[in-house]
Amino acid sequence: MNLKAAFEGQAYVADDSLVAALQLAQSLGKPLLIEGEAGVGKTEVAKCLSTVVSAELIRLQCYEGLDAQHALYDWDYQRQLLAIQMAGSADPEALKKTLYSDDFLVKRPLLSAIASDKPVVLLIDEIDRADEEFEALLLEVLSDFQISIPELGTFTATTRPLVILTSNGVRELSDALRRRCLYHYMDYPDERRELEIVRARLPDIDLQLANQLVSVVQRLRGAAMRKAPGIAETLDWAASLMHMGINDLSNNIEQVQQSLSALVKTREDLSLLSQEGSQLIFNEPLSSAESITAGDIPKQSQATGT
Amino acid sequence: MNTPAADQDLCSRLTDFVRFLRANDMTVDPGTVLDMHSLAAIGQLTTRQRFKQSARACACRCLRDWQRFDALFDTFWQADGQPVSVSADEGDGSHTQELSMAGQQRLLGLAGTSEKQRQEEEFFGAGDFKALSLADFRFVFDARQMREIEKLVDRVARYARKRVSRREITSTRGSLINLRKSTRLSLRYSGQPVELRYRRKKPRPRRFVLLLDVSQSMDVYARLFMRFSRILMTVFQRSDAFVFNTDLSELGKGHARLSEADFERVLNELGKGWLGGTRIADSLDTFNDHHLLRCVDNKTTVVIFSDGCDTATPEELAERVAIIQRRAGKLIWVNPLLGRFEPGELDRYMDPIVPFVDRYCSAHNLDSLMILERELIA
Repeated sequence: MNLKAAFEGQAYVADDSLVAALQLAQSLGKPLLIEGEAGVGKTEVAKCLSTVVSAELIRLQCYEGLDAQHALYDWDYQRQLLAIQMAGSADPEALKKTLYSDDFLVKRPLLSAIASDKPVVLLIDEIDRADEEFEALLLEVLSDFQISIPELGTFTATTRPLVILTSNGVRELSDALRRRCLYHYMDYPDERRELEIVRARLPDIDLQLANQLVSVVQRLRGAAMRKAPGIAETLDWAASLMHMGINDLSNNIEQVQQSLSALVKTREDLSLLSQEGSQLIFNEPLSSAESITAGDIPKQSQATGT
Repeated sequence: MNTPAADQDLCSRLTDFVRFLRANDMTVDPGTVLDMHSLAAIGQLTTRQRFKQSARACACRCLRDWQRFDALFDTFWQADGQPVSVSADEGDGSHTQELSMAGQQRLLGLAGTSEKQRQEEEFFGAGDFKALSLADFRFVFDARQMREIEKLVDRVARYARKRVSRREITSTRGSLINLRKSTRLSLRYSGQPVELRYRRKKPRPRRFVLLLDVSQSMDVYARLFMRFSRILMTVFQRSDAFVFNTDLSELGKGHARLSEADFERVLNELGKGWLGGTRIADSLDTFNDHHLLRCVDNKTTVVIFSDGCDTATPEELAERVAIIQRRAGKLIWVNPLLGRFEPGELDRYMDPIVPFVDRYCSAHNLDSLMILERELIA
């Protein structure tokens, strides 16, 4: 399967390096760790992959304090309690067997992915937000694709899930986890690629507007902002401008200023742009003289994603 | 299809390549080697570009590896392929050569220490750590040792996050049942313990404001403190950091992840310069006027990394510091020169300021940085 073309079909412009990493993950059956700034399209990779390979997407969103009960499995305590009461004076041994059976097992994302007999893409999102203890818990799952439940035994994956882990670099991940994964770093796209992404996601956008806004975003990423805008923000801003009926940034400065809340996400950055916005945004000619013209972009691959 | 001899040759070159990566400070484990061999066996390494991309995905573990890999790959797989040592600090090959233990000790400023200490330092492992932890940062020239120190700085900063309060809180999840709360909750279910409550350690959310002097006199310390600050900012997300020399600039979250070189470039682009002159009082004035109310409250720890050498008078500087101290929960002044000079030598700069800081300490080596970490969390 031509993975790159398939991704383009999903409006996701994947670079060759990402495609190679994904194909390796499929061939070797190893998890793929994707690192990069927030909003560059890491999570979207897993979503597109699941569509492309026609597999169910199971997502585990990580957060501080995430533990085994919320990631692997849990016992339905309330139903177990009810079953004990209903059983009355039944044989305790038989009751024990019933209580710790599949009926009372609550499968969380990791166990669901391992136990599934259909192809699955498992997305472990923002693993850097989880605690280090949770990482240790993942090691068994990621290396052997199995989960041990003391009361029931070991679940081993019949169909090995495609695992994508994403990280924003909030904290350093352990070597043990990194060793078990293939690695890909996703950076902000260059101007040409970002333009392809915008045109793929928003096919109706005016070419001049697309050129101008991409150029502004690229410039803002080099400025002293608290949070540099990601691709997601670029797309939000582009959609806002389209919604406001703006086709040329230089003729609508006031409206552009109003739309900036779609692009910058902190009070400090917004006030910086309000004060110095015109200078930051319009300090260079925004004409499309050096920019890419419609002819430069292949028709079908005017596509991508975040 | 490749002949067996060609396959054999490729395998042997792959093994050499892995050895080359390891020699250049990349951690490549046997599993990765096997992965690369299996890729070669199933014919996935069809073109040079494809081979490079696949090898990069297999061999890299972090952003630093990722950034260096292309240069290493191109160096090894050049036409006649003689492995060449490529350092992370490109362009400064003079510091990459291996040094003898005696040479390292001299560079670390440890020559002339006692025999017992020398023996301890020569002992592999703990001695190495101790040697590094005692070395004044300005004596660490070797790129590899600097990376080791950076790793230790990283560890110190992250350790700070793991500190939790002894106080426990009630939670809907956890492993230790809070019997009192659970029993009380069971009253609404006729005494049946349907809903359970648990006990958990209370995390201590911290907020730091870091003010970092990047003037010429701070030189090598500024770079390490930058790293320390960047890690603290990523670990303690509500923290803010500022850098100053002749002017104050806010270090955004995005900038917190830039490399020193990139950050230097950004500063230069802003026209602020890196390692220029110092106007601490003016910079603190800017901070007090524009950021103090927003960033600092009575639970915030403000840390100023500076040697205190200013063009303004110490009394003027003390006035600005006093304003910060009144608002902050704690004000720590970290002066790397404190551990370098004899007591009294810096007094004319710092004497008027010290009464307005809660803690005045040094951070000229890793040992003192670890003491600072305890101060930050205390």
